[in-house]
Amino acid sequence: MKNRFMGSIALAGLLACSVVAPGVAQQPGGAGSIPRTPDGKPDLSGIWRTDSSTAGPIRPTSWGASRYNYNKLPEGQGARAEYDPIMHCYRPGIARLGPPLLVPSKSIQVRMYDESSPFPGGPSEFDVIELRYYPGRIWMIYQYNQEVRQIFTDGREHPAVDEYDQNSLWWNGHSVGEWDGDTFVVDTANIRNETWLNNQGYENRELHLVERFRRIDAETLEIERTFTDPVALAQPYTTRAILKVRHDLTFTENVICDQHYGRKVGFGFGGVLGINNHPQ
Amino acid sequence: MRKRFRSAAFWVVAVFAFSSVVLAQAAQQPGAADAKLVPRAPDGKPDLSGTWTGGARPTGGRLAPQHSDPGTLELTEWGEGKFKWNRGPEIGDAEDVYRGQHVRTEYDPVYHCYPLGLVRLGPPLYIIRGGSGATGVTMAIIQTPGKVLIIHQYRNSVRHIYTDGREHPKALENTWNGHSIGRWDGDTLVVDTVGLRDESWLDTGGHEHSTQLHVVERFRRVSYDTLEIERTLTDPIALAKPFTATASLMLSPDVDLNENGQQYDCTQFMVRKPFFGEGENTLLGIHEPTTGAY
Repeated sequence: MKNRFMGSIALAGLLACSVVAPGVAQQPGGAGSIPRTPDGKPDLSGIWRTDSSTAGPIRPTSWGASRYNYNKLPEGQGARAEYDPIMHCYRPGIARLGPPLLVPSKSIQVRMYDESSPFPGGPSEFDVIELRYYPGRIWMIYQYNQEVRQIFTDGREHPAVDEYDQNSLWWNGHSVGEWDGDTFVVDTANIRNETWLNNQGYENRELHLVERFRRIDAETLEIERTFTDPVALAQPYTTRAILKVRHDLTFTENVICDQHYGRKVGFGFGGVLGINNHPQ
Repeated sequence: MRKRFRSAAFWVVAVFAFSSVVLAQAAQQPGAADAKLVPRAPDGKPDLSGTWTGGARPTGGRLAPQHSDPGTLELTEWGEGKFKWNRGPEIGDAEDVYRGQHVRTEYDPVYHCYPLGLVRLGPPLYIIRGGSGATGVTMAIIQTPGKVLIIHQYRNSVRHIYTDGREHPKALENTWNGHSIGRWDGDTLVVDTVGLRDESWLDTGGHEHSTQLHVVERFRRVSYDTLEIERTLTDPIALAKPFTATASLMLSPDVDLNENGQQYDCTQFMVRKPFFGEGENTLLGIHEPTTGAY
């Protein structure tokens, strides 16, 4: 009786071991301790925060330079805030979403006690992404403005661009990705042109982006981004971000221009009456 | 003889148990011939992941009249007052009133490009005018250990439902989608949400809620391709009684979410409405001053 009991425990143990959680399997003899998915590729999933980044110089075309000169303030003071699309509640666009996140600190407002306040720490604290696997794609969720994008891994092509069809251009572009060894290469096209490349006022018109995701070790993800734009850039522009895994982080709900949606916003319907603030 | 029988019975059970595990794992493999069982996550719970559509015709309760069926929402005096204000004077004949055609759209937050908020995102999704206002959702659910993510087609709105055992924080800032925690009750995921901003509506009809709105959802994958979400709204300020309705969604693996899911392109709104000075709300064709305060 005792033997049979021990036998069933052993069998249960065997059954338990046969249930494998994806992403936990270790590749024996692989590169360091990089977690891998069942297909043997590095596991990119998780919550990541940018630890450091570099951005190469932007070499605009003469058209790009004229836009930049129009948008910038005199010598070294950055860009004119009133021309920055983010300051008009536009979405940031795939270039500025990063990583690295290149948005004005002023645009990061979170709601605290019924008031909107600037988020302490600015873009560096807000530069958090979450990567999740899904059939046929990888979802990327950004802390900033709760942006999302899909990176399709099912071999599809970019849709044709029709400048007059808003449905063929996206704020975050159309992304397709495939593995090149242990590097995940993402190609993004169909990017809307109402965005800037960074806080300095460089614009884009026919932007194309190639990103290379590389999980360097168990805690580190590197994302290298190369932008090309035949209209705006005379040479490719490259940024590089190093992200650290941060499963402890909780996303804060963030909506650009959240502070517009308060009960009393100046005059008008958001204001004197207030949305849902009726004289009763 | 009896010993041998017991031994045989033990092995029959063991083989049966082992093959259930094999079958369950087979259900997780895409394309498996008999993958009509509800897939399970590694922790043994039903896996709710997938792209789900539908939910336009919930059962059990109606926020607004649907054809000849009256709405079943019961409001407090406060809630009734807000509702009447949002609907405005009853112009038009009884048919229009009945079909909810005369809401003051200028008070509808969606026309001012506010985020919809948890309840109105649904299912069902409340953005269309006329009839009950309900329409089907498209949403992607991504289930991971510790968190369930829901990404809606509408404005690509994201919900984080924490299933790691945490409680609602004591000092909770109100947000559009609230703070959601989930716990398993057998094969049902029970999601509790509080901390909702009150600038949103419950539907297109002008029903409002307060910050005390408490939403409890029960997610149940009743079969491989059907997800039921029973949702109960409790709000001591706005609702005289809890309101419950159940929406049924269909697994739609061939449907892609895209960026331009919102019916009204709020980009137009953004272009015309700078932070500083005044701007035009092109959705409503009205001139809205802004403070410019920043």
